[in-house]
Amino acid sequence: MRIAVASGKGGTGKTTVSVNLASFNSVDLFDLDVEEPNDHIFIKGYMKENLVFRKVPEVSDGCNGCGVCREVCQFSAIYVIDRAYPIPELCHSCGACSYLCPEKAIKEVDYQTGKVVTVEGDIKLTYGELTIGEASPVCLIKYVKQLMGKNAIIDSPPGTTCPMVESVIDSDYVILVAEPTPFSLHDLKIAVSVVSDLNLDFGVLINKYGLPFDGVEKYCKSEGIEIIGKIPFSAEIAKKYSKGKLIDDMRDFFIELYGTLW
Amino acid sequence: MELCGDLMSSISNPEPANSEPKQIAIISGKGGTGKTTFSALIHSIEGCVIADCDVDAPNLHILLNPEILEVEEYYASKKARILQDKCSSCGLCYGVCRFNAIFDKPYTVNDKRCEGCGFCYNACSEKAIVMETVKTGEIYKSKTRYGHFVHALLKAGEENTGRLVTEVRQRAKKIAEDMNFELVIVDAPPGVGCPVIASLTDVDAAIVISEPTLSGLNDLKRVLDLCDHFGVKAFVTVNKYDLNESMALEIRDYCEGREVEFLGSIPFDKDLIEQVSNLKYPFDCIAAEKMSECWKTVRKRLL
Repeated sequence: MRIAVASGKGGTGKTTVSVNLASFNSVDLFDLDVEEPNDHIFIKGYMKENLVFRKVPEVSDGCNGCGVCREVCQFSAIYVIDRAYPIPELCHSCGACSYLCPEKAIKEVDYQTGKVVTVEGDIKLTYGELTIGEASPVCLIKYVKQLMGKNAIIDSPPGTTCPMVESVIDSDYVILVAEPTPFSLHDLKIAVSVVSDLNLDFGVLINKYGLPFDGVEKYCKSEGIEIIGKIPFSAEIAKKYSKGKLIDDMRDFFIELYGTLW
Repeated sequence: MELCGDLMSSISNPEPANSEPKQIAIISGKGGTGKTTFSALIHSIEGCVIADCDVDAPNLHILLNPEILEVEEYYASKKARILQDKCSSCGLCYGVCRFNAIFDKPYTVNDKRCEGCGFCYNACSEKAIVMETVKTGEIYKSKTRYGHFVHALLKAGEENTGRLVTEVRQRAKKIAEDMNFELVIVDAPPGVGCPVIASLTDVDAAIVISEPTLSGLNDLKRVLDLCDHFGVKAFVTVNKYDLNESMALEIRDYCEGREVEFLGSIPFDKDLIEQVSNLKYPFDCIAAEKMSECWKTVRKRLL
């Protein structure tokens, strides 16, 4: 079973839930928040990394500046002054320009989009790290996903757009982590509509439970969304997180939670 | 003036600004460190133009409770559609698509995966594929009790966030120019990808809101790398510093080592949490005072 941990709002506790759930149940962990991966702070072990490339156009001297590539590119990733000049950071690696170039003057070459790192510790962690300056994390997320087996915990990026969708789309269950604040409630509603659209099974886990706002619980009740667990608001837990430590005294909670999801 | 004239001019700034408005982005790398709270605080002090560029999870409007003056529909993405009566089922589109966005037999487009690259459209020899513009979201121009506010909402699960951020910022800058505001605050999303890059382009400075955790430090390093990459001057503050004071000091030292100006630390403050929870704005508490001191340092440097 692949369980994705997502949220909408950042900083609600996706990483906390992911690393503890994976560690206490000995499940492979995948950190797909490749823009800001942090699970490796909690999972130590033997590290191995590989560079990840995507394809971008390279223009040869055969280019006569006809501009077909610029016309077909939907991402403004090629400009033409006498000849074509690609802008790899903006390129989505769709391959249309090289295929459609009448002069066959464009070939595709490797461009580093990031790296994938595996950590063999108490559990196995696999994460991507996007090269600084790269616009889209989606290619790298797709690459890391190929390394995933049948059972995995997936730490997803915040937000509700393409990187989040790519991270949760092939999962069997999504844990939406929310905190009791009006901001989190707002973003939770958007996240619920995304996972519902994708026909994914999901439930809500409330983190920092005890903060003075009951809107998240009320919303879940009125929509019939299952609240699968609560993690209390606690300075102790926050301290452990700050030092990169697991929440040992909640081991049973995470074992039980994993059990109920199966 | 293109906007609802009377309403807007009633809160324009009487002091004419001599130069282009300064644009300052509030970023963090890591989510949930306090970007929105900090941005809202500056807005209440300065009465400036503020732009919520976290278009996939926007929150500022919840606090600012704005009066929406203008709603614009935003069309950015295109999706391919296969005209079944013209399709000869040759399968070329299926073969060329890099995004697994074509279902086979019968060939149809998976909207969730289509990036709108148009490869299939251009490749199809039967001219059986059309590219259709789809509504990606909405852009709002609003008024708050302190000034002007531009925000947007991306349709759930959509893409092209970077482009929408750029649209939001262009409108915010235009309002600042028309109304003689000297400052545009850009509340940016977490991460380092396209919407963050679009939030940082051409700003005069960025304020990074960090937190005293190993994750916070790790994300701070990457977001400062991003600022360097695009030549943006950065300032750093640590929010909720007393959750782990030694980590807060480590972040301060890291900034000093990197020659990035450290603005000071903001305490964890239950009053602030309660005020945000109850949407009691403007904030009045110790953390807010400390944030305002941090802001004043930036103000001195830039305005």
